[in-house]
Amino acid sequence: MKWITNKTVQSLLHHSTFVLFAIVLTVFGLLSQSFFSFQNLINVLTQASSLGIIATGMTFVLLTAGIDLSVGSIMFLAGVISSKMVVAGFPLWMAFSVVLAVGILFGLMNGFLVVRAKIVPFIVTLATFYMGRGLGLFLSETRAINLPDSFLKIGSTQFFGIPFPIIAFVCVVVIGHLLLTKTVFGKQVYAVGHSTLKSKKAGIKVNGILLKAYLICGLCASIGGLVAISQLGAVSPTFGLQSEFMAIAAAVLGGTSLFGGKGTVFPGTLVGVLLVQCIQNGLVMVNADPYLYPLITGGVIFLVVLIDSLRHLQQQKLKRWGIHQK
Amino acid sequence: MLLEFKDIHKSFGEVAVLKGIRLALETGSVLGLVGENGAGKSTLMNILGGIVPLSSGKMELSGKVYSPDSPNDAQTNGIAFIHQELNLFPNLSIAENLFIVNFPKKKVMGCHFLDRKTAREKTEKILSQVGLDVSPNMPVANLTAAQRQMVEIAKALSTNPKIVIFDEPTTSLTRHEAQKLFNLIRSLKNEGLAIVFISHNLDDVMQLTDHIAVLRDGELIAHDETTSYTIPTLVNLMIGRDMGDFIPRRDTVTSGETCLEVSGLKAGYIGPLDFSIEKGEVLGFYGLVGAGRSEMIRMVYGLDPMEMGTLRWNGRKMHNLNPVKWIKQGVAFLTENRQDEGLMIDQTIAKNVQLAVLPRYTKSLNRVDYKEVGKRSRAQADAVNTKYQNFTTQVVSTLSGGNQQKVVLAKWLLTKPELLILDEPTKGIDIGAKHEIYTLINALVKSGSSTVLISSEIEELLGLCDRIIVMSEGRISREFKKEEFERSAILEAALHHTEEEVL
Amino acid sequence: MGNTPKIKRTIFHGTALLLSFIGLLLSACSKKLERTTIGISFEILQTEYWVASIEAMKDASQKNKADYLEAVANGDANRQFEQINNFISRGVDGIVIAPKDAHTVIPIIKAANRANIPIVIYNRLPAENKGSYTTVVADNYDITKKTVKYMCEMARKSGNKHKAMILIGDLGDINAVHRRNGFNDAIAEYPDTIELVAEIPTEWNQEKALAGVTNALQAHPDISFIFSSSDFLFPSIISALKNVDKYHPTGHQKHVILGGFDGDAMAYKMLVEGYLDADGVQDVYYECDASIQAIIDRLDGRAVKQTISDPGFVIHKDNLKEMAPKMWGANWAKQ
Repeated sequence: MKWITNKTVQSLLHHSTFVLFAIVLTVFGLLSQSFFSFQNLINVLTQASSLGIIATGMTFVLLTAGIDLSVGSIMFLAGVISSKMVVAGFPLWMAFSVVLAVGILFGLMNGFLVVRAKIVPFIVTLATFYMGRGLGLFLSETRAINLPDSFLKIGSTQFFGIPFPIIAFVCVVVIGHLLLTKTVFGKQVYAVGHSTLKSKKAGIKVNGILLKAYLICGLCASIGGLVAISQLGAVSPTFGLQSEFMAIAAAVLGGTSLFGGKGTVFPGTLVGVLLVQCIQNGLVMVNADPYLYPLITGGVIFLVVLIDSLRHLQQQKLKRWGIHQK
Repeated sequence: MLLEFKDIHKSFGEVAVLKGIRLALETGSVLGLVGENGAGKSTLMNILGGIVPLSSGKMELSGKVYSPDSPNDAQTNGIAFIHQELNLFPNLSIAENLFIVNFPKKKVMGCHFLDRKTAREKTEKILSQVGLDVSPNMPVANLTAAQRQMVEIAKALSTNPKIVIFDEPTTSLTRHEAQKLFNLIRSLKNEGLAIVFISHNLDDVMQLTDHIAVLRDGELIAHDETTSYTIPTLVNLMIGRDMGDFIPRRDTVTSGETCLEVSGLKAGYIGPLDFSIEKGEVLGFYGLVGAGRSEMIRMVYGLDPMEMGTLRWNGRKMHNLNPVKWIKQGVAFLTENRQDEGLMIDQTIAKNVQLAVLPRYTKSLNRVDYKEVGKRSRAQADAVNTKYQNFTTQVVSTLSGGNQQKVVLAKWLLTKPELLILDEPTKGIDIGAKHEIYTLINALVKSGSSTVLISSEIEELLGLCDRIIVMSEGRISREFKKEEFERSAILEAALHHTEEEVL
Repeated sequence: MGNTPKIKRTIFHGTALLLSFIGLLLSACSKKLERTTIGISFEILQTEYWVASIEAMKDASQKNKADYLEAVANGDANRQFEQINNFISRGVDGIVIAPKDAHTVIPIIKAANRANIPIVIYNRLPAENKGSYTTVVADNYDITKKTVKYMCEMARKSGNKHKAMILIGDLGDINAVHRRNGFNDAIAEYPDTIELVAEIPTEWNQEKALAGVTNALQAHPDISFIFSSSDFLFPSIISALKNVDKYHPTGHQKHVILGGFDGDAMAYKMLVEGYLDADGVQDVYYECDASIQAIIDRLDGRAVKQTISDPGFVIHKDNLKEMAPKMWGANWAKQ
């Protein structure tokens, strides 16, 4: 019985993202000496911070079997509003609070429409995607806004040699992980993602859970936007475009299912984000042909999803024959 | 009296489904609730469980008026309802499933966190109560159907109920597992709980209960001690008429001409298997859950891949099996899982019945001749006695289980099959519908077609088949001809090992 | 059940909103067309360059005493096609289009030809040379080459060898590809001075640019020559350079030779402050005037070239005063 004895293959299939991550690290490490330097590690983490924060929020929504396409627009809006405010002379803290409020507001709006109006998340967030970007373009009059240095200073502030973006990233991942694994809310997110009907029968307040998930996603998007512009020093009209796809791709790479109920922030999404970022970083380090970038990134995503579906098929097969995987 | 129903009425719109039910429930006893689908069993229990409100009448719990406004309210009043469809989250562990709403918490730095240690201890205690020896951290996805049932029961018991309602708890269990469940129910009874047991399996009801209440058309027909009933009297009470032979007789004999021949079929733990079926024959397959009957027939039909084996249909070798090919050859397959595989559950009856024959009724330019196909499909649905309000607009999911099954049958009969494969065709459907399905099988065979019948009910096989093949652990353990039919021998063949191992 | 009035209210509000929209559209459509009218369709207004272009286009129409209708397709090729059909059915005299891409513009050209309306394609060459149209495009290759050669001369004068980096745009954008080729051909003439060590694909995305530049500076800390295929990526470059203390004006010993393309407001400011050495500028005013003029000429029966090429110009500290009025970003910065 081939499929039971071949345990190594199975566990490799099970941890496909980790295996690919290890392969990517090894290949780039061999090709470029500076890839494994401490400074480069810091660079990768800094660059991953904004995407990582957004992907953490996205994981919550994906776990409820939803999707949030509006995160890139929330990021953009966060950038536009905060930079407008700071340029106009408002203190930083006020700009930040307004931005977080905007993120929460968008999250609530998404959640409310999904829960109350019973509109499919894909459509709801597609609408808020256009609204957010439109509003941002309107506020910025489609001009790039350059930020005062006070903003950039936040991005380069270090605590014990660790840049602020990484600290924000780690905080969000830790809080996200604790929320999912250590609280009733987290467990109910998984339950709702598996089946809203069953969750209702079990006495879970499904609407509240969905609302909170979208709220967290919106909040994370605005934090991610702030972290990104504190490094960029400017907000251009294309800022945040396609971030939603990168965030979804990172979460899925980390093992989160688009059908809900399956996935983790730590290690899942974190590894997914780092994998994406390491590939980008490594390709620059070895000065690869620019045409290779999308090919390799796409190839890795394809591989992971392929392996995941192979694993799924195999489990189905085992289940049909009454053998349960321990 | 622990619980009394006093003159309960319930109507949905203008349809009265319960007409003045008076019934009492004692502590430390098991009440069997039987009746055909639509007799009002579920509605009565849904009222007790707080899922629907009653229209008039009242319930008294320990002498006090009891009127639950939600399932949670019913639960706090000590009523636990274990539904036929389990409400478990396979992606969570057992402990998480048990405490998904009221998880034990602890305070760390002013925040409420899950207290996994307490949850684990509590879970272990409850699991040992139902005799389930698995880790509380085990994901439910890794449990067998029986274990999941136990978890669901454990979940119900964790609320310290006074009354536990079991709705068809044995449909996905093997006999052995069902016996374990009955032992558990008996021990709950001895602890002083009142149990309501709903089942179509009258053997189980007779074996387990102290009292039996029979409902028919929303009225309580009989309520007495179990010992005062026999299965035939129960059946008569449920149906409201004398059914005569519950399983109708058939006098035709097989033609001796082979239509399907299977040899060397093998995949995974299944096989190698060799058997054949003759024209005009009903071939039965018996075995325990997990014996590989469904898996075997799914391979034959090309739904799952086989590793090796050859199939001959009317003497011709078949390659690259798939359902489309079989349907063209006149072989139809009614799958075990009618809701997911046999029906488009959210589509109308008409669309479901027509599905398999649409390619046969076309006009020029390949357009479907809806007029003709509509006429024929309606005639077929009526021929199998499907009860519906509107053939073209009513959605299948609104039908009862028995009528859903008839829709699937009508679909396949419309293709005029030479061979009809039935996988558990009577699972979870009421006695009247069962009787009708038996009649249909006989009629089909009389017209010269053949039938493969996979069933877990021995009576059914004994009554209908010309030959029974018993499977165990993926192999054929014994074959019985009609004159050798004997209940105990068949059971033994299913329970025990394959012939080689015996030898 | 309690939801019903709420739903009704929502439906009512939604309907009211929809009706007011339709009203607005109708009133917009009922304008009378008497003078020469030119339909201006832009694919998107997502960067300053496009906004400056459409403004210049409108100014040029007014200068020629023509009315204009404007439409923006928000990146949707289908919608752009519909908008052009609307123009045609409303009887415009000429069409200027900044198309979504080189392929989807072809049916649009056909439609305009069928209606016998002159059409000018702005900023992008169609993929096929079929039908009758005029294209107005900046010579991306040549402008880039001129700019980079200016930078290379500076590098050669400094006497040192330089490690170079280029930020490449979206490789699906033909302009980005032309700029890359112009850059490569320019540095090929200076093999002794310039060594290309990093090509960063940015997909026109600031975050990717920031990450790419940071990573390249990590791999090659001695990079001292950077060309950006678009000015709007400068904030990312500045941020990355500041992090490694390499952002200093010309004359400072840590100065990195910096060049860009577009001529936007930020580039102008950087030129003035001495951080930017050279910028390739598309002459937006020339291009827009030429576009409108081409239509007027066609309507008056004069011959028009099929391709009008904008030679652009390189702006640097030596010609800053003289060329600034022609640099759209400079005017933009002063607004």
